Parts: sequence; structure tokens; C-alpha cells
Amino acid sequence: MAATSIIYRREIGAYLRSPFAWVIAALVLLVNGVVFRGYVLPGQHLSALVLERFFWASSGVVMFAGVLLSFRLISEERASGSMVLLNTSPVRDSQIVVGKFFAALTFLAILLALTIYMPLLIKVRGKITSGQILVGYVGLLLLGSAILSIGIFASSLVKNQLLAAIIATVIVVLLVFLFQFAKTLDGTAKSVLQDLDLWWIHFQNGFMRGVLNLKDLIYYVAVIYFFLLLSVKTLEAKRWQ
Amino acid sequence: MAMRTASPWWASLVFGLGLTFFFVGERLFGHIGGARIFFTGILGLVPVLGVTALRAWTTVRTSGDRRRIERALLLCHAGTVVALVLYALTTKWGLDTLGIKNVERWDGAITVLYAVLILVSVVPVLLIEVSLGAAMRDGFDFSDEGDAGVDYIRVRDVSWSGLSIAFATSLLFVTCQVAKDRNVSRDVSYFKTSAPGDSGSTCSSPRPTR
Repeated sequence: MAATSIIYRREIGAYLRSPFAWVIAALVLLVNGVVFRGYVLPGQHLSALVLERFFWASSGVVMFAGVLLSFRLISEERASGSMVLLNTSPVRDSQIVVGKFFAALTFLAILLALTIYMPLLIKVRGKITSGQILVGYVGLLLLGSAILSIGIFASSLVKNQLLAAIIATVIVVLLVFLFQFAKTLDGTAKSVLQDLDLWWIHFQNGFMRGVLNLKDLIYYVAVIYFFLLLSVKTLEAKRWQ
Repeated sequence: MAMRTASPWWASLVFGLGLTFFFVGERLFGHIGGARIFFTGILGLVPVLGVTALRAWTTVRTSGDRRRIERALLLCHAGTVVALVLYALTTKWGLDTLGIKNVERWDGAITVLYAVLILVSVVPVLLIEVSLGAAMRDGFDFSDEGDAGVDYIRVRDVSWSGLSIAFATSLLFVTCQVAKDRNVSRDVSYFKTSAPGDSGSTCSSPRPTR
């Protein structure tokens, strides 16, 4: 626990000191604001629908931010040679992965918290429940966490950061469009693939509309656990090389 | 580090191809009798059973760490064979033989079981083969080198990793399926009023108010 905490604090410090992280933060907030003004607000709709559109747009931004925040986490250590220090220190691979994951998640949560003024504007000007805002943000955080875990896994695979970003993007795109692919199938395969879809089934049909489904919560937790486990196992395997 | 195992690298490839043909035979040609026998039986089952028997032979013929590696691979192959037997019990032949009445329940339980068993049997083999490499493993080698030719601890760790990944994948599938069936849902998006009022919208919308 102490080792995880040390790695967490080190990573958070690295995020706060790194201009790259602030550029990502600025970019995310800018894109979110522009999309809110240019796509979410125009037209006349139910305020609950406006909030849905906000979460729809924000989910894309969160996916983008998730990949950007995570692809460097382990590949950078390997490229700079500091992975050797981590490997030789009394820290388990799982502690490295969990510490880095929670640091990235904290930064992402701060970014999400900074976008709260947009749904509050909708609440002031229209009539929506606080529950819908809360559920939407829980969904965004879970989606972001899942993307971060995928990004960390991609980062653990290769030393090249660009390649890690590409691998993470490919996995995310595959998982997002799994639902579209599943529609072309039938029977058990269709059902299984639809259940594994990252966005259409578990975010768009649930959290985005203010519907809290137990299955969506469990799905995201399972995906996060799965990819973090893969990352740990990849790091263990790399020790042998 | 290349390792000199008793069995060649291509044995696992033949096993994998056999499994693939078994899958093709059952999924694509399951309704055509002749094609099913050719793909599932000749191209699928024969290589799978043949390689499993081969592993048993290489396990018996070796000793020490080399034997432990062969035994690990044999266990994985045996797991796959058991999974195929379980699959056979979900077919019409299996159901008729066992006289199962509650087909839906039986099919669901056994399908999950054989899918998980195949996963936990195949993934470790894949990772073990990656860790062993192909160099110096072109043919059968029963030369008595003791344990010098292999690094068993490395192979053991990799196979445990494979097992963990396979179980985690199974957990992901099963959890999602159970969560979907036992889902609890709560809609917090609208005020609980008897009828929607004007204040609930900023203006008219083509979408009906729920």
C-alpha cells in the first residue's frame, strides 16, 4: 500500500509538473467548451435532452483524454531507462500499475470536475435532476477509467510511445464499435459481443440518459480489472526478457 | 533464451490448427454431414488427439524440468480435450445419449463450462510457446541433457500468467452475462410528476416526454 502511495504521489507530481498534461487539460476543456457551445446548446430541446447531448459529446472527449493521459505511463519509463530502477526496487508490478492508474484517474477526475459548470448552466436555465448529472458524471468517470486501463495496458506492451498510443486507440475503437459489428451476427455471438461493447450499450443507453444500470457499473469495473491485470502480467513477462 | 524441449514447436501449431478446423466444421458445416465429418473429425479431432497423445509420449520419455514442461503442456491439451467432450454433450447426439429434458438450462451451464475450460487450456499453451521460442525446437529431442536445456521457472511463471489472464477473461464474460440477466435499473433523469409541465422543457421537441 505504501509503495502504491509513493508511486501515486510521484505520478501525480509528474502530471502537475508536466506541460504535456496541462496542454491535454487545456485542450480537453477547450474542445468540451466549444462542443458545448457549438453542438449541445443550439436548437430548442428538452433540457434533459440537452444534458444527454452534453454527456454524449463529453464521452468522446473523455475517451480522447484517457488515451492521451495513459499512453506514456509505462512506455516512457522504459524509453527513459527508469523502468530498470522500478524493477530493481522493492515494488511489485501490481503496485506500479495501480499507482499509475489512480494517478491518471485523479487527473482525469479533476478535468471532469472542471466541466461541471456546463451541466449547472443547463440546470439553472432548464429543469433537470441533480441525479441525472451525477449519474452522467459517474458514467464519464467509469468510461474514462476503462480507457485509462486500456492505455496503461498498451503502454506496458511497447517502448515506443507513439506505438502505444496507436495500440490503445485501436483497442478503444474496436471495443466502441463492437456493438456495430455484433449487429451483423446472430445468436450467442451477437449477445456476447454486445455485452462487451464499451460505449453504445453501457454508456449511451445507460449513464448518458440518466439511467443507472447495475450491469453497466459491473461491466466497467470488470473491464478496468481485466486490462490492469493484463498490464501487470505484461510487466511480469517483460522482466524475463 | 532458446530452450531445447522434447517436443517441437510445431506440435502446438498443429494442435491450434486442429482446434480451428473443429470450430469451422461445427459452426460453418454443422448442417452438412460429409463436410462436418471431414472438418470436425479428420482435420479437427485427429490432430488434437494426436498431439495430445504425442505430449503424453514426450512426457513419459523425458525427466526433470524438461518433463515438467511437457507435463504442463499435456495438462493444457487434456483440458482442451475435456472441453471438446463437454461440447459434444451439448449437441443433439449428447442430449439424446444423456436423455436430458431441460435442454435450455443444461446447454447454458455446459456451454459456459466448456468455453471457460477451452480458454484456460489454450491461453497458457500460447504463452508457454511464446516463452519457449522456436529456435532449437525443430524436432523431437530425447537426448539426456538433464535440466540444462530449459528454464522451468520462467515457463511456470508464464503459464500461471496465462492461466490468470484466461480466468480473468472468463470472469469478464460471465460477470457481464450474469449482470445483464440480473440487472437492477433506476431512471433518475426525470422529475416524478403526474404529467410533464412546460417548465420541464426549454421548448417543443419531436421526442416524447417520458
